[in-house]
This record gives sequence, C-alpha cells and structure tokens, in this order.
Amino acid sequence: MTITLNGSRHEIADGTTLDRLVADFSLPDRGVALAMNSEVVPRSVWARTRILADARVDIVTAAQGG
Amino acid sequence: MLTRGSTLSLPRRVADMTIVNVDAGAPVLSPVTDTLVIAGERLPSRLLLGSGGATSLTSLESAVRASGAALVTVAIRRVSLTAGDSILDVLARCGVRLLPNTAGCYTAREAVLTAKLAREALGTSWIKLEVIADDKTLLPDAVELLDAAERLVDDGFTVLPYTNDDPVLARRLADLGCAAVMPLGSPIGSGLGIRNPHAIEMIRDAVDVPLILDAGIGTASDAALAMELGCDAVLIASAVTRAEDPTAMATAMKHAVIAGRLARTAGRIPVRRLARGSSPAEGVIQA
Repeated sequence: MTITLNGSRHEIADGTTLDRLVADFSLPDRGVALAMNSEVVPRSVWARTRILADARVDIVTAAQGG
Repeated sequence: MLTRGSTLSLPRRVADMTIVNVDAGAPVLSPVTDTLVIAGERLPSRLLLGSGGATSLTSLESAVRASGAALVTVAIRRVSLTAGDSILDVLARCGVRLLPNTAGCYTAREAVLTAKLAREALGTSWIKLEVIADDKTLLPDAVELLDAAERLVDDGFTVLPYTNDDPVLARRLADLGCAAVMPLGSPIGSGLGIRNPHAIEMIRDAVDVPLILDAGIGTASDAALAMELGCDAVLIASAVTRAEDPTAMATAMKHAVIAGRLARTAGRIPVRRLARGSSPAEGVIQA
C-alpha cells in the first residue's frame, strides 16, 4: 500500500506498524513527535499502531525558528 | 581628584544601590523581587530569544549565552535524514527552557496540530502561538489566532500568542486565558522598531497578563523603548541572529532590556516644552 511520509510517497507492506516504519530514520530518543492523518500518536504506542492505507504520516522535531 | 580605581568603582556602586536599595520607600527593584513570571513560572531574564536566522549553531550558542535569556524559541519541522548537531543539544547545553512556536501555520487547525506535536516532542505545554495571514507581511490572522488560542487553552496549553498591536484583540486573548500577549512592534524581521508606541501603551493598560513585545526590534534602543512603554519582556530573534556580530548584539539587548526596565520603574521626569535649569539661580557672578 502507498502512504505519504513527510510529504513523499512510499510503498510499504500492509500491516506495517509505526515503529517499523520509523526504524529507517534512526530517530533520536527525544525531541521527536509523529502525527498520522493529523492526529498525534504518542511514541509509547507506535509499536502497536498499524499504518492505515493512504495514511499521511509526519515526523517532526525542533528546528531553529523565531 | 578621583583615582582611576575610584572612577571605575563609582558606577558599580550606583548601579548596586539602584537595584537593591530598599529604604525610604523607594521602589524595590532587585533581581529577586523584579522577576518576570509567566503562568506561575519565574524567569530570570526579561529577554526572550528566538533561535531563527542564525548562520550556525555555534553562532547561536554564543548569542544565547551572551543574551542571558532563559527562554528560547524553536520551530517544529519535519525531521531531516541528514544527521548533525541538534539545536536541542545546543539549547540543553545552554540550560535554557524551550518555547516551541507554530511558525508557518496559516490556520487554527494547523497551529493546534503543531502545538500538540511540540508538546509530544519536547515535553512542554508552553506554546508561542503564531497564525499568520500571508508570507509577505507575516501579520497575524486575528480570526484564526483567537480560534486557535481558545482551543489550545481548553486543551491545557500555556499559550503565548503573537498578536497585532491591537488593544482590543490583546484583551480578547487575555480574557480567554492566554498566559501572556505578544504584540508586534512592526513586521517580523523588518527591524523597523516600534511603529505605534501608543498602541503598546494602550495594550499595557488593557491586560494584566505579561506583555511581551515580539517582532520588529532592530537595535538596542528599540528594546529599551519597549520596556519603557511598560512591556514585561521582549522577544528578539533576527535583530540578534542576523546582526553582523550576534554575540555583541545579544549583549547589547541584554543591557537594553535591563536599562529600559529600570527606567520604567525609576519614574522619569515629565516632558516639558521649555527648559528648566538645574543649577541654582542665586549667586551667579556679574561681570
């Protein structure tokens, strides 16, 4: 199935969980948050949250900004 | 005749007395009692720093340290696959508190989601709420701003909204529970200073929550003026980070905010149309 991750289209296997998806990112332990279809998903439940077909996933962190 | 040593020590003594003198009913203005408090949290500096615009994290770290700021803003953006020193590492080293913002949001919906992501990512419910109308002026969209502020206050956020220099809008934001109001002096990054000082004074009279001048500061005298007008603090980004020497400008801003605050509380002389001499009129020699 196809999803949109941080604005780019990706093909992933059906039933992929959020923690498997983000494993490729080598994310830091802190300072990161994720939203699926405009809803924040706490890191504590990434391992048991399956990604929905056509989902829009955004992973964010802090950047320089006024 | 003063020695070099006594000349140098005099300003220090005067400054000390001004800050901590507690006798004769003088207004008490010490670092202990004259502390900025936002939502019950004491902040040791009245200068808030924005982290945007710095050419490098090294430059930013030096400016943050020189400014003495205790609260520094960060934006929330998609993670990059390019690894590097994180701004979070830099700001953690500086020992400052983070104030995430919703910069880049054009609607209440975008701003609320960004605030929730910031809370999840950074573990703080404080949010500098920005909802802008267009990318040419970066002026706040009052309608979306009020909507977002109400939703975030209801969700338990400590909301510090970037707002227009409009006393009525500022009062509406304060009334619905914002922890501070942050009117612009002039457009973000313009360096035009405070274009409507009277509006800032009216906002001071309109709200009891902390008043933080945000946006438009160009140089130290602008920051001092903000404090003299009655602001509780000043938030500065570009004026420091894009200065030729950000560390020197951060130092200047630190002193400007302190000077402006002292001047505000010192009770300035009334403005007069004509001169009023300060030397005795009696005993002038005749020639």
